[in-house]
Amino acid sequence: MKGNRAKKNLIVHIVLLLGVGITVFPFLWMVLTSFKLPGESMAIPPTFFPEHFTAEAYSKIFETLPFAKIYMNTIYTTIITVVGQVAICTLAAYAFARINFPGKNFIFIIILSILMVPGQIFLIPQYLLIQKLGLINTLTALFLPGLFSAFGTFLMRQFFMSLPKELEEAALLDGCNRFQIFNKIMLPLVKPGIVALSIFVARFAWNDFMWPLIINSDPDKLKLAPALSLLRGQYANNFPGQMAGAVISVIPMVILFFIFQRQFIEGVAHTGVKG
Amino acid sequence: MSGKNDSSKVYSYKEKNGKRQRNDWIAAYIFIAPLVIGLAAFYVWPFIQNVWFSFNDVNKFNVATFNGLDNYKKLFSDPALWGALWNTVKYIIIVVPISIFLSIVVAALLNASIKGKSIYRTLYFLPTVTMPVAVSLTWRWIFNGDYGLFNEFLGLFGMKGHAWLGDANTALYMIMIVAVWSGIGYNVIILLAGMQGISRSYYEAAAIDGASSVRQFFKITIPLVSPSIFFILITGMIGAFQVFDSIFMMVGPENPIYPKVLTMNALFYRNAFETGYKGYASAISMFMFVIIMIITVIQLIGQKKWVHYD
Amino acid sequence: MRKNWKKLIALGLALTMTVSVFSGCGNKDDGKTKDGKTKLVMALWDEEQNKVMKEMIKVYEEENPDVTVETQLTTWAEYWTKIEASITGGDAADIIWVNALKAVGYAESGVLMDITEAVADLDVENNFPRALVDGYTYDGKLYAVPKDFDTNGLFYNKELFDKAGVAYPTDDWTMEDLKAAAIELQAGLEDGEYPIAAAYNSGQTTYEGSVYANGGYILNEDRTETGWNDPKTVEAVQAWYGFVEEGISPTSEQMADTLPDTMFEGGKLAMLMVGNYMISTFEQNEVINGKFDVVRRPSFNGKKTDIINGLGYAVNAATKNEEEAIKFLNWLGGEEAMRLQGQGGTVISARNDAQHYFAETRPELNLDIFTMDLEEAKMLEPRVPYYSDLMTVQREILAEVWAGNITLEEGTNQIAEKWQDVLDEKNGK
Repeated sequence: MKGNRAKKNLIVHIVLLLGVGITVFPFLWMVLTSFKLPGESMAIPPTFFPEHFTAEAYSKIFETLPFAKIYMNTIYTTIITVVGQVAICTLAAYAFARINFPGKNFIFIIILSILMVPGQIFLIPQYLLIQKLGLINTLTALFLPGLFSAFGTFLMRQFFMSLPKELEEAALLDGCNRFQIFNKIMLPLVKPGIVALSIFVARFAWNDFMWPLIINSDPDKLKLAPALSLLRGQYANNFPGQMAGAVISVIPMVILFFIFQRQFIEGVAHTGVKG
Repeated sequence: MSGKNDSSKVYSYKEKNGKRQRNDWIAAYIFIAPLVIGLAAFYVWPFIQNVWFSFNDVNKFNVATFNGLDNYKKLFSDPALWGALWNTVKYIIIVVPISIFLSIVVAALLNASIKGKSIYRTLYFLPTVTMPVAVSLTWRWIFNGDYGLFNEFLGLFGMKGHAWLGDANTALYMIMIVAVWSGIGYNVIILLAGMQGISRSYYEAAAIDGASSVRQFFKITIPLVSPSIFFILITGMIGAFQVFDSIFMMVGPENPIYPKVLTMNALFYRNAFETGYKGYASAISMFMFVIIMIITVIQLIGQKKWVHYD
Repeated sequence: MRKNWKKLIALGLALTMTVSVFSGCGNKDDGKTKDGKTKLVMALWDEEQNKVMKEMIKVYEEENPDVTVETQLTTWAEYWTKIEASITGGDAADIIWVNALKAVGYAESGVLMDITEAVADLDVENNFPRALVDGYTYDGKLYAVPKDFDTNGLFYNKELFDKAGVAYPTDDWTMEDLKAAAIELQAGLEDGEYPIAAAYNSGQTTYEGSVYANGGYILNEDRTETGWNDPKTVEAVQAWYGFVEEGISPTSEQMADTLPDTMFEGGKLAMLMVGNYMISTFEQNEVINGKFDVVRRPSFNGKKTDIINGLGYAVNAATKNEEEAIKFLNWLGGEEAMRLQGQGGTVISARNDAQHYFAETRPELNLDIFTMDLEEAKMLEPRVPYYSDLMTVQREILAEVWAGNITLEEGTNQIAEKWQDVLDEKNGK
């Protein structure tokens, strides 16, 4: 019995490790290539570890494009999107979940229908709107539409609806107004939802590609993802440079992920299965 | 906050309720105002505009000229559109089942009581968290026909390398490989959550009845995680319509085969922002909307047959 | 505490957003700096050249203390989108870099200023290559001052030639010489190393020049007919495409996967037809640096006809600083600016008396060849406002030919047919 069990466990581990190897290897390769010289990266047969270890690729890409600024842009817009969207959607979600007001169902149905519509539908008009507002090539354009989310509202509403009504009823009778109830009672109780949504939005804002690609073309108003595609165009011949760009784009999310693993994974379960 | 009402402030019951209700409504409107204004400006109105644009020709300088059903007529006769649709279907047919299969295997293995579960989970999830364009760039390099590691690897088994991303016949499949690779972690988490929600008593009862673990897996586990499988199926199918990053980064507009490997979203982007046919692109987006709706409806009806809810 | 923080942040955000949204609109530049100086903006791409331009601007600002000039750098991929968007938005730069293909379309749309009179003193007819001046002339009027040009040469990797024991290319080579050397190289090189690359979209550097040398043509003078199915045209294209067919050049899939430029830089390509603009890039790659040189393109049918392309300085028709912009434009086309640009080593200055500076920056390379065949050189085609429609057709069909899906004859016939349709439509037939 025990022997069988141990053998079974071993097989399970071997298979899983194989999978992990395949999963993790590209990241390893990304890092290794980034520390090679362009010529060495094109060696046939490929070398594994850099024979001549150099961080030249990293300094080069900071020369080509204002990567420091681009990095800050991405951090800045990600934070604003997360805080903004969570705040705006949570506020609205509470009202939809707990207050009966005229027009509530009608408005909520419209919000739900936005959820059903694929993103491409909005893209061209959003682009033209931003152009009309004179916001092309600004940081604001990068985060503005992302502050308003039907999904975020829907998610937070689910969380609010799972809370017992008695809490509010007691507070209302005591004479509290809605803002106080929201602040002091409801908000702390939906913390898991806020965490889940924040992580979801952070991931989206950091990794977003198409919208920032369309909206900004000035090098110092770019986000990381479109900047990478420029590296591929302009540095078609410098593979370590491309990989260096990829490494720095990936590291923050990876670090965040390792610190908040549990929340990331719980968040997926929340935003996934419940939805 | 609390405290007894001063007699001088006593309102009639009706008035008090009426006033409170009105205050409630005002509070509610304040709560929803930012969201509603924002959604109206950036989503509702754009939706209407998009429908309008689909009946117009919109040129490079954004001047719109009404052209009736021309864009829609073009939709049906455009080989590029049907090519992209077919590419998207191919993508779904290959990526989704393989993803589901592999994720079930990994989730099942992880669900067994073994050590290090959370480490495995974390590592498998890595591709999902990381920037798709960065990951695509790396895979593009790995698949490079002349200098890439993939061909070197194949060489170990005596297989000859190929210019995978330069050949219209193979490029899309490489993109699909990357899609499966990056999606496993996410699916595993969903499935694990479903598996862990299955009560032990089912398994115990089956074990008593003499069912092997394999049989238990197929008769208990799979049916009871079918809601999660359904979720992955639907998000996978809709996700195929959203694919863009990997196609743009792994093949890209400078590559001559690019027009042939487009999926629907990439085709939309190309028409809207590369070749500058914004009106036609709007029509494409409407078309995508309709198809996604149809898929969702079919799935929702179909799931009644095979998804097992507690 | 935390919840109040959240509220504060949300409020702060709302304020920031409102302010930034409204500060974004209605804020049009009035073309003047705070201290009353005139501010000119020059739109450009190419980060290397940006540095050179900034040095040049310093000189101009010293000579003209009441003007400041700013450069507006956009990456190549986004440049035209940005220009078009900023023109629509009314805040485009005063001086705009254009190339021949785009200049015609913009001139037709009235977006560029007619500068024929404004630069009369520059005497462009006598001071710049004829092909360039013609290239920026539309409907009899001049719309841009030629800034620089590029021509093409046959770059070669000395190490690979040594490896295969083949004599280096010379300036007198013919197509036959090229082919013979390529075949020899093929025998002496390893797997993964190629004699020469002939990509489907390399017309500007490879086959287009040979087309003209052979007496064929792409588009006729009055833009009414295409010569794509002219036997002389097809013959010239076939000479280059043949390399792919015979395995002397990498296949179309391989070149799609790894660009010929990349292969050359990686030391995997013995010969490459490309323009002088690649030199700085080659120098920055440690594999190829110091191991390459260049000769004149091989003659076809006895002629060395090459394709010339170049950039021009154009003026935004809606500029708010017309007088200063024109003055700056004249300076840019003048001797001093052209000399400074050439000495910057990134491009060949267009002005006749400044062309030699580029070659002087790298005496160890055979760079004189780039200014040798200017008289017969042909400007890049098709220079019509709707060129992108034509180019899309050309690219798609040639991609099919190169992939081996249709023959070159079928392909050129299809291109000719589709082009003729477009031409007829545009010419109102």
